[in-house]
Parts: sequence; C-alpha cells; structure tokens
Amino acid sequence: MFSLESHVAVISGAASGIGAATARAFAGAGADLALAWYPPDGHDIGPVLEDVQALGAKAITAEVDVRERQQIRQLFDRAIVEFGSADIVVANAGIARREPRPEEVSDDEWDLVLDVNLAGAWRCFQAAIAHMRQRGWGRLLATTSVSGPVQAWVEHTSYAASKGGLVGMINSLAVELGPAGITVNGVAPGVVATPQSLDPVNSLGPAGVAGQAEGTPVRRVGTAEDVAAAFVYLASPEASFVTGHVIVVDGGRWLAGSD
Amino acid sequence: MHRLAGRRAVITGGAQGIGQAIAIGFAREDADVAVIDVQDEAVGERTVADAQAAGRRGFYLRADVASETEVTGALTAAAEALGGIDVLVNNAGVVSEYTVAQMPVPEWDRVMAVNLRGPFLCARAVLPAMIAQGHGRIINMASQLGQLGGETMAHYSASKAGLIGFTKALAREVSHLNILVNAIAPGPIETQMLAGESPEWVQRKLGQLPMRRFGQVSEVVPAAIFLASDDSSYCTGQTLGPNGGDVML
Repeated sequence: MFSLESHVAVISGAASGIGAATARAFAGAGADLALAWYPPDGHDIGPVLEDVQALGAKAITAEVDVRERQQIRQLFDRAIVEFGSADIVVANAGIARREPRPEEVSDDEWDLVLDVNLAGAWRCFQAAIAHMRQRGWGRLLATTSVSGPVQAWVEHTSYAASKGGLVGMINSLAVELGPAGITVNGVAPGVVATPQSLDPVNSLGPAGVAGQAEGTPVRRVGTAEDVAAAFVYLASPEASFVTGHVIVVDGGRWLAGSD
Repeated sequence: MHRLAGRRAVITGGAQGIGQAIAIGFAREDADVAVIDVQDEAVGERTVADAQAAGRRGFYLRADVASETEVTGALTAAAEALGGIDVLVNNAGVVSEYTVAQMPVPEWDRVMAVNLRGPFLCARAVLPAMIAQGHGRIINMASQLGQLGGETMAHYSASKAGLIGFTKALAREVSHLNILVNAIAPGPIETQMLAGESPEWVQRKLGQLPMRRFGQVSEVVPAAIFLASDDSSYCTGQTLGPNGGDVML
C-alpha cells in the first residue's frame, strides 16, 4: 500500500523543510528522485541526497530557480534520460514575505512571491504534462497552504494569494488532464515547523510556531513528515480516483478557528 | 510495509460493498477486524472469512446501527472479542430515491436513522474506551452528495452533509485527546448502489466526471487505510474525496 516503486518524482524546494521530508518519504516508498534546490536560500541538498540514497533511491540534484523555465526543463530532461520517466511532480518551492502595510508593497515585491509560489509551480507542472500524457499516467502535486485557500494570513497577502491561486490551478488542470490519466492535487499544511515558518522576519518565528500548539485541536505543531505522508498517499497508485483535491494537514487548526 | 499492524478496527456495514472491502483491506494491512451489519450471519461471515484468510482475527456481529441497544451490545462484544478498539469506521448506510414532495416521512426517518444516528450511536459507544486508552480513530463514510446534493436523494444528501458536520464537531471535541475524526466522501463508485441507475444517467454522469470513469471500491479503501494509519496523524476534521474530480473542495 502506498508504494512508489518504479516511479520517478521531481521535487522542487527539496533541500529543506517539507520538500526534504517529502524526498525522504518518497525514497522510503521506493521512488527515484530528481531534486531541485535553490542554493541562495542557504540550505544544503547534500544531507538530503545522502539520506535518500541510503534509503535505496537513485537520485539526481540540480540547482533550480523556479522562475527560470530552462532550469526546470533541464532537470526534467535529465530525469527522463537517467531514470526513463518523470511521472510525479511535487511543486513545493515557495517563499513568504511579511508585508506589514499592504499599501506599501511594491509591484516587484508582489511579483516575486507570485512568480516563485504560483508561476513556479505552474512551470514545474507544465514541464511534465507532455511526458505524462504520453505515458497516460501522472501525478501533479503542489504544496499549498491553509493560508489563502481557507484562512487569512495577515501581513502576508501575496503569500495567501499565491497559495489560493494554486488551488484554482489544481482544480482547472484536474478537469483538463483527468481524461489523460493525470491526477492533480495539493496538500495544505497548517503550522509546520520548517526553516520557512521558523523565520521570525517573514513568518512566525520559533516562539510564534511553538505558540500555535495550544490552539490546535491535536495540541501540537505539525512536522514536515506529517505533510510528506499525505504526498505519498496522493502520489501512490492507490489514490487513482482522487483529483482536484487538497488535503489539509493542520491538526484541525483551521476547523477550530485559530488564526 | 503493513500500515495497520496490530490495530483493532470495527467496520459497520461491513458485510458488502465498500465496507466489506475496507474490512478485508484493513486485515491485509495487519489489522484485526469486527464487522457489524444487519445482514444475515451467513453474509457477514463471508467477509470475516476473507479477513481471516489474510491471517488476522475477524468477527461478525449482527446489529442495526440505528438501534441504541443493538449498537451498545455489538460494540461491547466487539471490544471484548478484539481486546479493545483503535479504529471505528462508520460505513453503514442506506439509500432510496424520492422527490422531496413525494417522500414518505418514514423513509426520511429511516435514512437519517441509519446514516446519521447510527454513526452518532457507534461513536458514542466507543468514545469512553478511546478516551481512557488515550488514542483512537473514527472514520465516517460520507458521500459527495453531502457536498453536492443529489436530486431525488434529499434525505441521503442531508444525512451525509450531517455526517460531515458531525465529523468536524467531534474532531473539535476530541482531537486534543488523540482521537482523530475524519470523513471520506466518495464520488460515484461501482457498487450495487450504482447498478440500479438508468443507462441514461450513467452516460450523463460519465460525461460530467473529469476522469470519464466511475471509481472502483479499491480506490476508496486506501483513503480509509490512510486515515486509520500513522500517515494521517496530523489530519483531523477532514473529508477526503476519492471522487474522480466530481467535487473539488
């Protein structure tokens, strides 16, 4: 159940947080991996690569800025040459920017967040579609968020807009690509302890993250592994009738009305 | 890797259809199972035999989930037989077709009693022990008709929408006690329920489905396994939709 044997996953933002945990979980489930990472973020793909290889996965890595279509294209081409396919995509790379006063957000600041979080995922999906159509099988997956699709996140309008936009993209592609055997889904994490959420400047910071446990029905903050497990399910052959769906992995926090 | 190793699960409406497949699927993931259904012993025992063929313990208990006394009796017996209950799957459900204008009141009441009162009674019966043991999973089998609404199925749609609301409310009530409550809202799945539809309906519905096909029971079972396993330990109050894209929520 939930085996990814003989599948090849391309994961963006794979050097840290949810992307790294998803790479490890996919390797544990038997997938081979093409891992995209962005060195200017200060993370290192090295330990992730060692871990997934220790779990038996064949893996390649590439420095990818998801704003650069050509870099994404090259990684897909390499994956197909090395492994014979690229039939699962986890569009996970994302950034958050604090915007204390919406009236002062510049077009460049807004565009950066939308370009990475929304258009970046679009480019990753786009790079895979023709190949998946040919195979008659594919899994397009994205990391969205509760912030945007179902909840507000004050001082983070661009982030919430990008994550809400992902859901519109997921749903539309799900209808369009369903007949081709390609499912399109997302995972919407709540508060999960990752380098991004632990950044006190642009996100919650360590105290902010820790403080969320109490208002969450399950009384803890999420882990990147919690999110990765939902991706494994959605990527697996057993999720073949699930499309246009977003699994919320938030310990019930949204339900409880915590903000 | 067996995802439900050592779990003890009760599945209502487990003698046939999706419930039967869940019971057998759970057993194949190394869970012991107790099946509750209104069907005759002979029908229920077939499911149990398949679960036992997977090398697990299986029990059949005949009970109507709409009856408080029968639920109490069956779940007490299930807990004794299994040595406790880790997972409850509220799957028992009934359906019929009437316009609201022509629906007999007893028919509305019957559907509500099985589909909504039943899960409440079963959850109520297992919760004290789940609270005492400090963990539990409750999985409610709703339907996408609880999200979409289905014409000539107002009673069924209302019962399933009610079950989704019940799922969320109970999740808020008990998740902090490590009891996670989630629902599954399948789309059109090839079961006995679908076999009764007209060819015209089938063609129209297939055209509406983004995947251009109905689902298989084997595509619903994994959602239940996911929600019963450690894989979903940060999911609560959720409604998973193996529905071929018919509803996007």
